[in-house]
Amino acid sequence: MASREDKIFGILGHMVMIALSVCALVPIILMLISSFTDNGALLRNGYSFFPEQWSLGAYEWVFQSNSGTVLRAYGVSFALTASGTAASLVITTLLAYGLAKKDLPFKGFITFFVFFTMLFNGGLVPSYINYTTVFHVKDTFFGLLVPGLLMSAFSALLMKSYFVTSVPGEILDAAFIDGAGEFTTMLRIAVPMAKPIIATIGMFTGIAYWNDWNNGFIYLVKRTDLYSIQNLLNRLMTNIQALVQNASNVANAAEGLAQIPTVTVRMAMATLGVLPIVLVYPFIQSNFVKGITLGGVKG
Amino acid sequence: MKKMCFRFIALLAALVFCASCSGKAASTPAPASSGDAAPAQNAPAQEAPPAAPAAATKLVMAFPTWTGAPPDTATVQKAMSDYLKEKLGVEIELQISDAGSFSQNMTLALSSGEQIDIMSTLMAGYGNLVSQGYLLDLEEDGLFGSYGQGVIEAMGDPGFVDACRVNGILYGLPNNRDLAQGRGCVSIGTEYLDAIGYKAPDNAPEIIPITQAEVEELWAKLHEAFPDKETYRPVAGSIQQYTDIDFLGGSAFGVLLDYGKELKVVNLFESAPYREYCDMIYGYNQKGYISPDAATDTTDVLSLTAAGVLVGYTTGGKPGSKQQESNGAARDMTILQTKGDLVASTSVAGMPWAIPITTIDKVAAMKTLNEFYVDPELANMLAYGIKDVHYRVLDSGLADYPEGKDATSNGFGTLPWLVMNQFNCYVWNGADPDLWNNMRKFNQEANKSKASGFAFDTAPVATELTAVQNVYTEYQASVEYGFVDPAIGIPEMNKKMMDAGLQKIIDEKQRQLDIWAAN
Amino acid sequence: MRQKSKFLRFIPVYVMMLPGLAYLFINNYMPLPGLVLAFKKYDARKGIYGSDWLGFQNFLYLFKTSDAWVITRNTILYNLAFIVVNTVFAIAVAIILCELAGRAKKFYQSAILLPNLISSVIVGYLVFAFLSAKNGFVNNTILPFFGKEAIAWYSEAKYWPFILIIVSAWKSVGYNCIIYLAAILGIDHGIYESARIDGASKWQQITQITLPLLRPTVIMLTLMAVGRMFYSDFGLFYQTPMNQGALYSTTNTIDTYVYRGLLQLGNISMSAAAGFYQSIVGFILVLGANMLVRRIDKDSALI
Repeated sequence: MASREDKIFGILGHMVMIALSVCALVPIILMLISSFTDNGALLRNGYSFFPEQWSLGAYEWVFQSNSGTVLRAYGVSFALTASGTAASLVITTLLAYGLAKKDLPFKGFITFFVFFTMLFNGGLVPSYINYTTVFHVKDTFFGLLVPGLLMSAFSALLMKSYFVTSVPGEILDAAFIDGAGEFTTMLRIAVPMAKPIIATIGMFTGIAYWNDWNNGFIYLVKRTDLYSIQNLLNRLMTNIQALVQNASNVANAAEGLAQIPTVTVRMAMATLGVLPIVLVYPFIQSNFVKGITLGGVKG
Repeated sequence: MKKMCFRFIALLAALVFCASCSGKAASTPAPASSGDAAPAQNAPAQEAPPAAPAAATKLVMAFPTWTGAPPDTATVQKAMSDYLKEKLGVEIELQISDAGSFSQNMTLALSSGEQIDIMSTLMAGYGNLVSQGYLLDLEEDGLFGSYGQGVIEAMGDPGFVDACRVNGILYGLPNNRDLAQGRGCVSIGTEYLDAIGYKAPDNAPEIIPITQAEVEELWAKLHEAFPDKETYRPVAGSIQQYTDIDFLGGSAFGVLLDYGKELKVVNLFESAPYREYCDMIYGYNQKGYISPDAATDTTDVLSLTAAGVLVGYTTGGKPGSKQQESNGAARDMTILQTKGDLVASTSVAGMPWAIPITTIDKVAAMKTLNEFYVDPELANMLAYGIKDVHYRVLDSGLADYPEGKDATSNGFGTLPWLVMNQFNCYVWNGADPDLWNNMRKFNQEANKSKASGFAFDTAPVATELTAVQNVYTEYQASVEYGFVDPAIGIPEMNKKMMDAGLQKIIDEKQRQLDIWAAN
Repeated sequence: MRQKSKFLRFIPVYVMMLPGLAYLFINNYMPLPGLVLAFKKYDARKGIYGSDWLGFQNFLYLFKTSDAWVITRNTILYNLAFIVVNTVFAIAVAIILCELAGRAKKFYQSAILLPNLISSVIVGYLVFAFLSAKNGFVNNTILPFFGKEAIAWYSEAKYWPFILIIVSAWKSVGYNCIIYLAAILGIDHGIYESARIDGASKWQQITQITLPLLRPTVIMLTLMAVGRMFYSDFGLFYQTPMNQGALYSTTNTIDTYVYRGLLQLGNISMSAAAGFYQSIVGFILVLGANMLVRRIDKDSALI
């Protein structure tokens, strides 16, 4: 039975969350409206929630001049996010499970090996040389998938600490004594209990893959047909930035800037980048919450 | 834990040490002149160059366009390869990048030994590429002398080629285009000028000479007639376009004044022309000509003019300017010029074509590069694509989009002025058919900076440059766009730059310039 | 002997860990020798390892400038502010979300996550839409409503610490609260039940049960953030203030300084030096902080 206090807390909670949601959404709504604004009107009056002149011009430009490009980029983004998240979750969970083993020999060393990667890497040029000359990921889908994103030490350590605090070692030991193998123990007992953290890491990884443009920027030079939706947006942005920065060195920078699609197109691209998440997220979320309630409640 | 941490780091140190030793061993025998081997990086990077004796050598040619590879790149590449295979026995792969990623792509590709045989240095920075050792000495083994003579002929003046030398060594070849720039040019919408009753003199040339006082008067009238519009919008390059200052070595730190007539390196920020310019813009801002958002908003002046927001802006004049600006601003523009024309010291060597050290066949690369200078067929293909597919030639002898196509729907097109020899291309419809001759004349008659061809080696002052550059970006917009009183802003900026080592940069520039001039 | 059998017992565990460890080896350890680049005068002809040694000269530009103090101070202070503000916000939102139920909760969670999906350049445009001098909402609508004078936001450095902290919170709260949400949902419900039977108020449950149990998570995330103390979110600090010079005193960080300084130089050794410097300081800081945590609360330490 809900007490009075609970009710007050609930009402307050809703009020706070409504306020926060409005703050979060207002700029995004502005982005959406800008993408439907006539470019001339936007330049004349600035960004506005009530544009002087509406227009579908930006979307026409996106879909006409890049017929197919945007749809293909969506395909790449989805394939990348799905495969990346799945692969990442598998290897992260396996690693974290091992790191959480209480009396694993060399555990300290291995933990440090993992932790160290959070702070150090070889830097851009050596990483590029490594990935392109040893692993030949340049201009392939793997160039988007593997470098930097496949697993982070952060996720592994986060998951490890969840295993340590929320999955009692005794339960695992009991299963092991009952004759279950290490892998079965993990799959049957540890993973179900760790669902909240696995879902969380899955979300983080998914967002990281969806938002990433850096790998495409670096590893896709000839195969721009493998660009994800974020790469399409990013190329507009970096081109503008390069031209603005080089305006004093390149005599024809103004001509170049005029060739780059307008502000409204950039807003349309940004909207297109967020749209699928808005559509898909509720489904992910209901599974996410289900996973959490199935796994998290131990009482 | 502490112990383990130590052990771990010791292990790492050993690993790094070993790798660096073995790397060194591998790279020692690789001479600087290894034209046909990828540079020794680390052992795995050294793959044998593809041995293909029977097939044609496949060369990779890399360059940027504003918006990346056009959709029909593969088709044009095929046609170009077919053409070149017959002529020189080479095939070509066009690696066209976005302006924004080209520099990054090239640095990474060249550091990891990827094959690139011919590259443009636009956006990538010719000087930086040279100083980091990415480019091949073109005269190595008589390369240029034996296979590159068409270039000199195409350029019309060996001096233009020599302008690309860095410390006496030729690393790149200039492209034939508008090398001079009309200084002090403003571009103003003709309809606005008509509205205030300005009449161009009869038989006025494309670029109309005018005095500074007259321009000021025009701005005042325009502002009065169109108070709701922005009268003028300064941009980052305006300081160069408006004045006769030669940005020596491509940076504002140490410049030559007065069209570079004297080889005396001056501190721009203490110079009279800089102060005059900033005072002028500050005055514009005080009078309300300039939008309060000018420093923040990165929307380009052409789009603003096209949207009817902006009345006029600064530009670099050249034959064809009026046409170019009118196209970009989607309305008829009038170009007025208050100063003379200048071939700046870095202009010729602004974006040379080069052969990187990762080429698989330097002779074939040089021959091909040369061919692009002499063969109009190739020049047109590179600039416009395939005839009757991507462009057509009108009866007037000018080129135009194919029937029913325009700039956005056409399948191919690069930056025509980036092509090695633009003067071999068709003139595009709408321009003066005699454009190339006018351009040649323009280049020849312009003031030439005495330092033309001087390249600044930034390595000795790299530390100071990063610091001074940061100070400059801190103040540039507020001082040069007129948001701060120059009497206060300039001394403040100058003092901070001096503290950051500006004088050392200027002295170093003068030293290098003196040595350069002596040779 | 016993050691050996124990080792054998764990072989399957090692095999399970192998893919993850192999990936880290490939991604982080194999390029690691390339760090020597920071100490070299890079020459492509000689390769990374064959180039001449320069000692610490590539690092000089990070310190030999009057801005060295400003960029270091800004980087550290912003990171501290982000750690505090974003953690407090994220925990508060997570706690509130846990108490709510139904469809509304889903909506809230989606809404506050969305800002995280917007590219930082677009965030810069949106902030500009609010703060622009000519057409911005703040100057044209909000300030006049309160009877205040318009403010030239992009030339007044003093406002930007607040603006950047707000933008950072706007972007990251929805994202950060997910971790705490998972942690709270992982807490045994029995504890709350018995607390309720004992007559504990909601507020008491939060302060006495939830917050203490979140402590390990908070400590761990803070430790990780400490390791990134000398890094800054480039997009936030470069794009949001639109690279405005007048704002550098409060928006310039190590990353933006390095970027601006090297843009024209394109020197890969100098940028490698900056990365090395940031890593090594982060490493020292995190080891120090970790040691401190071990002394106070051994279980919460990172390693």
